[in-house]
Amino acid sequence: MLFRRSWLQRVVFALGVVACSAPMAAQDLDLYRELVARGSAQPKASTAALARLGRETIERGVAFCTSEDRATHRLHCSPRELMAAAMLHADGADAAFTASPDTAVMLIDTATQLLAPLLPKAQPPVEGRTELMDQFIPRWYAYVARLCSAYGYTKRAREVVFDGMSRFEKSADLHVARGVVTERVVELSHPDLKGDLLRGGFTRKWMRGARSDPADTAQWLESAATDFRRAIELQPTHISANIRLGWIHLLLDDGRTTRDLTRLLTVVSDSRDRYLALLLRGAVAEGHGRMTDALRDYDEARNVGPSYQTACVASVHARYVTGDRTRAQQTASECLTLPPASDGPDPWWAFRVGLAEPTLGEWLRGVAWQR
Amino acid sequence: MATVRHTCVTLALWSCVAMTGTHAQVFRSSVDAVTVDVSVMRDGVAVAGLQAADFQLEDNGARQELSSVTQDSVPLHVSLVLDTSASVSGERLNRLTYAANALLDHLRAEDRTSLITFSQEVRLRTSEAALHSETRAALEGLVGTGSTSLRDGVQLALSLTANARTRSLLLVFSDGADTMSWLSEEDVLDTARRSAGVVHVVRFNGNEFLDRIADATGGRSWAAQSDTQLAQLFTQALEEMRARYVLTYTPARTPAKGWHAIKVSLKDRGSVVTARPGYFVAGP
Repeated sequence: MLFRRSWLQRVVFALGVVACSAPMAAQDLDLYRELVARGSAQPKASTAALARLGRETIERGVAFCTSEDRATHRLHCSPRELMAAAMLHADGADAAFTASPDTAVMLIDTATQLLAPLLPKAQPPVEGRTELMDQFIPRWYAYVARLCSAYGYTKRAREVVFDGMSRFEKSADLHVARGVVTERVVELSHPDLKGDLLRGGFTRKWMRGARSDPADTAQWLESAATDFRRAIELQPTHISANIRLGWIHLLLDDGRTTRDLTRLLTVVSDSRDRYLALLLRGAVAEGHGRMTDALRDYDEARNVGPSYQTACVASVHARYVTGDRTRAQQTASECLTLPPASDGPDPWWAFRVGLAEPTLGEWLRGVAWQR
Repeated sequence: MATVRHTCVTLALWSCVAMTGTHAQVFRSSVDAVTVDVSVMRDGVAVAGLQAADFQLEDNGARQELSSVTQDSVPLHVSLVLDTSASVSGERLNRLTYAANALLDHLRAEDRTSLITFSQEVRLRTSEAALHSETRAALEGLVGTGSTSLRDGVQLALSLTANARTRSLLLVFSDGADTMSWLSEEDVLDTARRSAGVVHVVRFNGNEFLDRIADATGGRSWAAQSDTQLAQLFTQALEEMRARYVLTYTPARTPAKGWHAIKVSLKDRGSVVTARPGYFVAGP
């Protein structure tokens, strides 16, 4: 609340300055800054309203925030406010991508301008800069790159991730993001990547005359794996990097997958991460015909996330093909009538499209809005 | 493909309980009786009036004796498996709902239905063997949103009919490609080959996966050119199912377990017969 009061007080003052100095729509500008201020308390309403503000208003709001107050020689917005605005822009882009991708991209572009004064080598150095910003900014870049790639804007995602890496080359999150974007590029041209690589899909498509490139695909995936391995080197406890490496190893039928995922399961405590690791380990076992192991992992994943559907689907399929049709039917019935998820959506859905883990978004919002 | 050749002989394998009153399942270690759902057409028209003597059936190459051939005497269980992802919203969803209701209009009182929808999540919107009124009510509340877990949706729908005691028709509708499923195409095809249900498909655009599923279960695939066609195609899919023959036999001179390749033909070669490629009997 302190943040909001001080922010609004300054808004009133700054609005006066701006209104006198430029022929701009002061009300719109005021609305932009109010939205940023309200972002913490009313995130959904604020992000939706932000997307509706219009490019010109947003650009003016950003320009104002990142410009210097002549009297104090400080930026009109504090570092904390810039981070809050950048996070609101990211969430606004998320809300806008499906219906209005141009708006989403504009929000991301303008958000990078908001963060520019906070970069380590920005000139002049911003007052009030902290080490927390060195953590926030690369993670924000990683989050946004993965957001773009999840919506299929892989070119923009690459630009964001390379922009971030040019400034924070030792960020584990950015290495993960780059790996995810690479993976997503492959996946978008192979919607059944698991089937293509592990169930003979490439061969079948090749026999039908379709362009088939298993070697190229493996090379791309290996490139993604290199980024995940680098992220693990930089931050061995980076759970997302470990899980995503497990997924690539699964796709490439790498013999290390089960061992690595088993090791990971001994240290992972977050239920969403455990769920994914168990799901992947089950898939490895199933792929090698170890159906008892597969079912044990799928069922354990179901215990970890009782309202998540994917492990349930995996369990149904494994039971069906092993001939246990009665249990398959019972389980299918359960899968189709799962209770509404109280702990967020099935983690597989975000994983599948490469969205950042909810914990990353939660961390960013926590920092941006001082939660 | 069966659907490409303008013939639509289809075999569906299901337990013959409804006909014999005993619970004999197709896919178990010992096969008591196998029922094969067959559609015979000539020049695009269903051929009626065929008798057991008109058919020839081979199971793993061994000629089988048919114990019965019936047509349209067993109640249907129709599972509507509908894409309700974001691309199916607005007018398309209205047309889809209308088409599903049109199909319900053509069902008989003794038939049962279920409604399964898929976006990223797959949901059963009715009881597993619902009265038509329940399914109509469920259709009212559909909303198109989210991504598409087509493969997972088909898997769950097929699995739900695993021990069906009636003739099962799964009518799958989708207007796009899969974007979210866990299972691969081959995973679901494995299930389809082992399944007792017939899968008919109504789709927009090419969808090789759905066409393969239809083939594997002896079903057909229809390509819709516009939303306004949906009602006609849904009804057509039901009529095609009704026109089928149900052939029953007890496999002889063939190993019980494993894959059973089936070949159905007519002694009168004027009609082209295409059959489901086979069925699978799991070991203990």
